[in-house]
Amino acid sequence: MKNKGFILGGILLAVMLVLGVVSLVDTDPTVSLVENRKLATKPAFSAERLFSGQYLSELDTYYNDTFPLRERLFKANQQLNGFYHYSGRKEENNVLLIGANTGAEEGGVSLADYERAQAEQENPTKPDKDPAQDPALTDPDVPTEPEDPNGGEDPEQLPPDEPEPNVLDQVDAAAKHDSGWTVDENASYEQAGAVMIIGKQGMEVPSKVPDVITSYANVLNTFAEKMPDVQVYSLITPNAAEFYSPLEFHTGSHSQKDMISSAYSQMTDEIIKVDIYSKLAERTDQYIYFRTDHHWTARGAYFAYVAFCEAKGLDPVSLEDFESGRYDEFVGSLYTFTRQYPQSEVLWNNPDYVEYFLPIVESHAKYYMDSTLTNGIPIYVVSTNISNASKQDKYLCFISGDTPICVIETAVEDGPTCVVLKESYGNAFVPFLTSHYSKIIVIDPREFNHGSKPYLDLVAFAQEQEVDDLLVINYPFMINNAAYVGYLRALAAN
Amino acid sequence: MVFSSLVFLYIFLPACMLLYIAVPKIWMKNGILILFSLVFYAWGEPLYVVLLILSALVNWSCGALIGIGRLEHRTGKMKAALILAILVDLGTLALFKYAGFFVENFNALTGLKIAAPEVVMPIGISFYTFQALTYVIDVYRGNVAVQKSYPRFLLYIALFPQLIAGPIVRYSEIEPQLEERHVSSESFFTGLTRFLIGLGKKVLIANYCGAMTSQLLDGKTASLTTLAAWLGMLLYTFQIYFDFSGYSDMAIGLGRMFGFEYSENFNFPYMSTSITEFWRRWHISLSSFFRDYVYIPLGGNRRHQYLNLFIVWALTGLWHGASWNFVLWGLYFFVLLCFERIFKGLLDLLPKAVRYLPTMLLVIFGWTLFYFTDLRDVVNTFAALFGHGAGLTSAETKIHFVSCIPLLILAAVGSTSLPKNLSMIIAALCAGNQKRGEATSTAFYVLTFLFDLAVLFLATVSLIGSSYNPFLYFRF
Repeated sequence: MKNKGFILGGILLAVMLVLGVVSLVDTDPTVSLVENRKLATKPAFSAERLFSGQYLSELDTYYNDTFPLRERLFKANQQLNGFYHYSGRKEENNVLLIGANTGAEEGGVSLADYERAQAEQENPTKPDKDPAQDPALTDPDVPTEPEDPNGGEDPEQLPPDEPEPNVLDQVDAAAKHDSGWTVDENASYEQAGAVMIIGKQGMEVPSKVPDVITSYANVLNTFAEKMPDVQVYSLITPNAAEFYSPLEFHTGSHSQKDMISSAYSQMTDEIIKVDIYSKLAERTDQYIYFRTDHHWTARGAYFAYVAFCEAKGLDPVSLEDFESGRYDEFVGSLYTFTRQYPQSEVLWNNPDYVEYFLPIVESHAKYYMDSTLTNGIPIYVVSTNISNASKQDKYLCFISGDTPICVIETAVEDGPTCVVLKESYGNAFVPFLTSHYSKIIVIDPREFNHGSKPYLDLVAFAQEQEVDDLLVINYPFMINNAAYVGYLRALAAN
Repeated sequence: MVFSSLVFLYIFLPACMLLYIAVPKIWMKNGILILFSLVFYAWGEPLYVVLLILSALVNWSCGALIGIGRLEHRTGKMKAALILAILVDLGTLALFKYAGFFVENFNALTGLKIAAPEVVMPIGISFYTFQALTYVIDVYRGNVAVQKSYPRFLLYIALFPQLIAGPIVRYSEIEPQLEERHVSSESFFTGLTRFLIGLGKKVLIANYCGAMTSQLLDGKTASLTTLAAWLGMLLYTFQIYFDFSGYSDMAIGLGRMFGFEYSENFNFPYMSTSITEFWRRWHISLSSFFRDYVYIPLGGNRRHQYLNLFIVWALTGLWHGASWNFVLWGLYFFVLLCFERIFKGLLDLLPKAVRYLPTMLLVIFGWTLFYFTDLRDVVNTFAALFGHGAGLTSAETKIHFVSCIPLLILAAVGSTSLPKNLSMIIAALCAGNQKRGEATSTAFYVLTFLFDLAVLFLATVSLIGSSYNPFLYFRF
């Protein structure tokens, strides 16, 4: 055969062509549950976006996200990564260390966001999953979850052909900028920190950035100075890496004990510094941190609550007095983040569970998009019935995940009012406060005063709300993160 | 657009090939290639594609003017047109690539605070302006004929295989192919295979080396352990080779599929036993450009040779990027090459095996200069390489080291001629049942086909994985 080069080469190109044609026709997925994220939507075209290069770069992403057999190819990639990130096959040798900026400082996700994402996945045009398996769809006793704040009656009416601008899109845009193991050229690895898996334990390893810790302490000092009538409490909590990582990853520049004491030592005497560290360090044999998720468990948060009560001179409610329950089969962020490496399989095969403790005092919570506290949407302080469809969303049961402002009113009569500034570590902690405060206002600093986010003047707000206590609760990644500290500072910039 | 993307592999390339085959006449085929090349470029640079077209137009016109000048026997006119083209080409480069750098240094010298112009460098501008220069200079020298057709000239400048990252194809090399090309069955298939080998080098080796390198080195040079510094620099040494030579392989392969024959750009540079040899094997199209269009016109070996070498290597460095570390990197090689020239007799006495290791070490040190644009990082890394870092090793370094052992072995073997020799042995073994008159046996064709398919599959898998963006839940 003289033309075998043409024939074989032609076959190869034909294979590519056929896949290419299929890839153009078959473009339906919107959310990948395997990857636990929303996939790109078809970008909107405009001449301006074309010439800025944005349109085509988004088209590239969209194309990658809708490629045929994506999920299967993704699975194959996990195997391939076993070659490039070698650590042996046995579970005890299971080691993975990736430099990673989690991007957590840019904002969080609420239960409503998450469920919307799931609802999109369950789009009837492509029933990947049997709806009967999903209790949220079949069980009439499951109450409808809060409405999507951005959907339908958005005050800013948008043209109908524009994709719905939900939080996920914003998160997505930020994530493109600075998430993933591909290190951002502008962000130093030291600031990014690292994610590691040792055996069955996943961990996030922070690195000390002394200047940022100093700014963090100064921001709290400013709060205390500008709000003389408000008692400021600083609650800095270590994470799992401090107790469960190999020595070198929690000593030296990774010592969280050192980071916390450095921050506390730079705060003025007016601020009450809560020693959560010792309480947790004494109980590392208990289930205080997840292995597959970067958060602490509600049990871990409870011991922080005990430390807080001691600092404030309150009697903590004993753990046995709470009505408790649990969600089984929880596989969280550390799995998702490392999902493309075969080392993550061990996490998947050894899931966590989420234990929760229900408030003793009757409490009602609503969340709001801004500090005007209008159009509140009711949520559970601790949700006992989030859908079992996904293994990954269960930490969202505490105050419904991250929302800009959440106000909890309790049956505590004539009790004090507090503001809690927090990222997601605070979520598991806040429900315990319901026994002591009449009103708890939970604020996520990442959702205010930058970009298109609403404006909030914390000093004026605290005065208006007659706030008694200000609790600032953070885990080490945040006190070392310049962006987060900047958002915190912006709350009292005037 | 880049070759190592799903859009290119599954839409652009097959569509281009299909249309290319479908049209009968060469001028139509050229038209298809021009169209696709402009789309290819516009995909990454929707605005600067105009600059590309204009740059080609100016150079083509200057070439024509030189031609007219020659017919009229007016050397003044020829010179003027040549100088105009050179000024425009180097001016564009200066404006788009070096303006910020010049202003920055001018400010540093004078203490002034002139605002640095914020221009984004158009992709591939260093390559295509040099290509255009080879044309006008060669027309002026009378080495090539004037290209009368602007579309053909645009095809030469914009042809997508070599447009973005070389090799720097000289006009004289492909002049006849712009008008007439023949693709044999064998060259079509070997071209495709060559493309896929390049794709594999880029996606399956360079990208992983790169990710690991930045994890080890970026922003960490102040706390670098010695092992981490060596590991990082070794991985970067592999990354830059597999990235760049992979790109050249892809360009050469694609060119061949459309009937263009480009010269080789790399020839196993990491098997060199001297720096002189390294530069004969590394980015051949660039070093030969500087030799023929700068070094020899300056006087070459005949007068002030060392000054000429100095100029060439400072420019070579600067060509790689608008930053002092690149100049330093170029001059580093100037010093090494002068040293080798002076002590040639002595060095030749050493056996090759003995010269190999020092050569490679010098190359790796060179890449250290090349990698960091901040000179403090360079100093820190050299300190760590020589044992003055944050200790010899650490738990972190050990984890990283173990995790990339398979990759290091793959890269080390892949950078030698071993795989090539192996494929030749297999071809010879397959040749047993070869029919008479056939250059290559069917069995070898089939094996190569399977190899191609495997590389395509693995590259696709890897590209899917690299678009993984695990943000949703993590971003609490």
